[in-house]
Amino acid sequence: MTNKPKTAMLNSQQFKLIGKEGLGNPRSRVAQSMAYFQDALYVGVTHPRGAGPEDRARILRYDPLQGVWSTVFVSPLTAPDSRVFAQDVLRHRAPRQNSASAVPRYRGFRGMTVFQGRSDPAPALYVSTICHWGVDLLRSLDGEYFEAVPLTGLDNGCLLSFRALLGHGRKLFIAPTGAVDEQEFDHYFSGDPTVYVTDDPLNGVWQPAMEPGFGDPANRTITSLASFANQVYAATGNPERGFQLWKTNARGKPPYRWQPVLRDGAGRYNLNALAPALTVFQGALYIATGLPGLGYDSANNVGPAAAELLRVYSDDRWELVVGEPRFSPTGLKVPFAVRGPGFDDFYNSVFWCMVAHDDCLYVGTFHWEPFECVLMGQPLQGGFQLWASEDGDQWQAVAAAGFGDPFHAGVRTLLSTPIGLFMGSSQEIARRRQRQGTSRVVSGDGCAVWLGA
Amino acid sequence: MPDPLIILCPLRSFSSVVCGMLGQHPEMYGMPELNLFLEDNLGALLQRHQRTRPFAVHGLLRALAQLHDGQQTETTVRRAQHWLNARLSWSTQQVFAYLADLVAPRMLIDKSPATVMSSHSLQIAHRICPNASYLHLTRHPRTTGKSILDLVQRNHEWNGPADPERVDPERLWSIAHRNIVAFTRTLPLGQHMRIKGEDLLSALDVYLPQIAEWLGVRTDPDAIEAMKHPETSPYACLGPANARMGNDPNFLKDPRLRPARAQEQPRLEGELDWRPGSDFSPATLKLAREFGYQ
Repeated sequence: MTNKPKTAMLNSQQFKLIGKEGLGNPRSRVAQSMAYFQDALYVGVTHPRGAGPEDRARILRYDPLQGVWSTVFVSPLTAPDSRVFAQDVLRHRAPRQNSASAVPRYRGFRGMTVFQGRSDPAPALYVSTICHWGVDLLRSLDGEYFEAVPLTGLDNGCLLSFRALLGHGRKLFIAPTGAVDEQEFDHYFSGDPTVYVTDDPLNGVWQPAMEPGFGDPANRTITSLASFANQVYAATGNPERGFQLWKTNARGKPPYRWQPVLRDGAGRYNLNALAPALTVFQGALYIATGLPGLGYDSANNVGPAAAELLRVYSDDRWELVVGEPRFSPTGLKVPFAVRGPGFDDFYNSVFWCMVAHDDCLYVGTFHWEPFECVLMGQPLQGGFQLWASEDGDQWQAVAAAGFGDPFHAGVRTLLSTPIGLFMGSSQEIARRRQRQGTSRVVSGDGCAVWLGA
Repeated sequence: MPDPLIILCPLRSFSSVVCGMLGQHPEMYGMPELNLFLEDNLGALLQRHQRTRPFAVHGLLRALAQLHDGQQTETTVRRAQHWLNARLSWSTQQVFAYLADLVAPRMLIDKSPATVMSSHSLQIAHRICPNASYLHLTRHPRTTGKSILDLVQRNHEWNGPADPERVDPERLWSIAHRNIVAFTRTLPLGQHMRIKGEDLLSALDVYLPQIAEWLGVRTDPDAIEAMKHPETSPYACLGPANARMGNDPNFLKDPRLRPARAQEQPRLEGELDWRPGSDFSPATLKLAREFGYQ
């Protein structure tokens, strides 16, 4: 008789730092996308700005057997124009211009997935870019050579990126997130709040899988997609009324027929403006919420507020796991974890990513306390937290305070693989105010990647 | 003795009818406006009322008359006034505890909109009843504003002090809710809940059982049915001549449930009736949207 070993939740000692300091470029602040492809880890790193050749986004490969990183793709350079210096809507300050003669076409990679389309001879790695001249979708069959696939059917000239990529059956679903023009860019909203679908990313035509915004102009983006109970689920970003969750069986020809599952940020309204992560765990779809920006969405005047964790079942019943108790049209909602928003931490403004790994659910947070410390001239504290649960109800902090570096403010990616749980961080820049209105940049030294095994 | 329920909201936010409803639950007792949390000391409180809003003591007088004598008449109200006069040195905490004891084992419900106009009063409330449950009741700022203006324009009917020309309903709404949000943020998980008055009044069978469940009182159909009759509260009518008020004037005149009143769905955007050429401020819009208003 064989006893399956009891699944052990990872603890902080089991996480090994396998990549640091921006994986070779300290200006690479965000380990923003990950995929496990042909027995190797692929990581797309992102730069907050793409103002010069030093900000070329890269795709890196980690060989777990050798423990070696290699760079497999570097953004091409292009001539700068006003879009390089477009203002971030959350910053309210025009970026400093420079005299760079070349800038990266891609300053980041926001999504990655492995998918085999109709024209793909084998499963391919698809990577979405962050590009100020219109998002591209890259494809690689070998993890070495990447090419942009035609986005026939998409008007992508002002789209910043695709945040969500989902393979469901034989179809690939993508959702544009963010928009850019000559004046400003928005990482989170605007653009085209539509899910597109094709069964042939290489040669086919992308078709809208839904009416834009599900017919609601306040739905200003699609933040995440998931496959659950034979349905495709899509979560919207809605800074006026809170996120919505919709589902479809995706049968027939697109656009599909969608049904609403949740509205009004599940009754917390716009304090749950976004649902950045959806993950299936033990028969339920878990929904992580949050706000854009550093705890406060200054573009839409929402927050600050901490994030919540919810779950829905295939019959559309929903439960509050972590968050604010409330009355609802379907009954009293009390958090099963007996923890308030942000796992009782006000600074956890987003549950940025989530993954099921070895029968445990992991949630990574974005924690903005370090920025407040910098702004207030106080000693740095805070940093990302990683929480885990074996049953979805009882939660433990696996890691806190950015593993000792408060500048690791967020867990941006979590990826479950046969060799362990990979975790990538976001390490942001902050400015410390000084006397006479001057400021200086205070920052860490780039994103990092850990392997928990 | 059960810990009390304190309803927090600005004036004209359905608090009279909601308190009247909840108070008809067999395990709860809805008070008129006690206004006890404005001062620490009873003597100071009565002086304050006398100086600023004499009618603000009517609720306390009516509650004492009812609880002492089983009826509210000019005579029993006078007796209540004597009772208060003999205890001017009492703290308001003592008075509150005395009332809670009188209604025990039922849960005392307080709803005094004046409490939320200052964070100091909210702190007094919390000091007096640290384990109270707090129900944050909201109403759309546009309908609240219209209702406030309607009230102050009829000041003469009840000797109210407000000058309609000087009342800014948006400011009242905004200050009250900002104070409430700042206060409730400090409370432990589950000690406070928020509900839109419009939702509650338009779906009683959905929300009354949830409120009862939250408070840990009976949720059976009889208890829920009892709550649908605020008009049966002893404070759901005008009081005797020496204590006429104690609740919202409209409620006192017609305390029956009027769900249609709560079904108006105005928009946040657009010119304000009371301030032509102006819209709600960004701060008001922010708060209202966080409460779920559009």
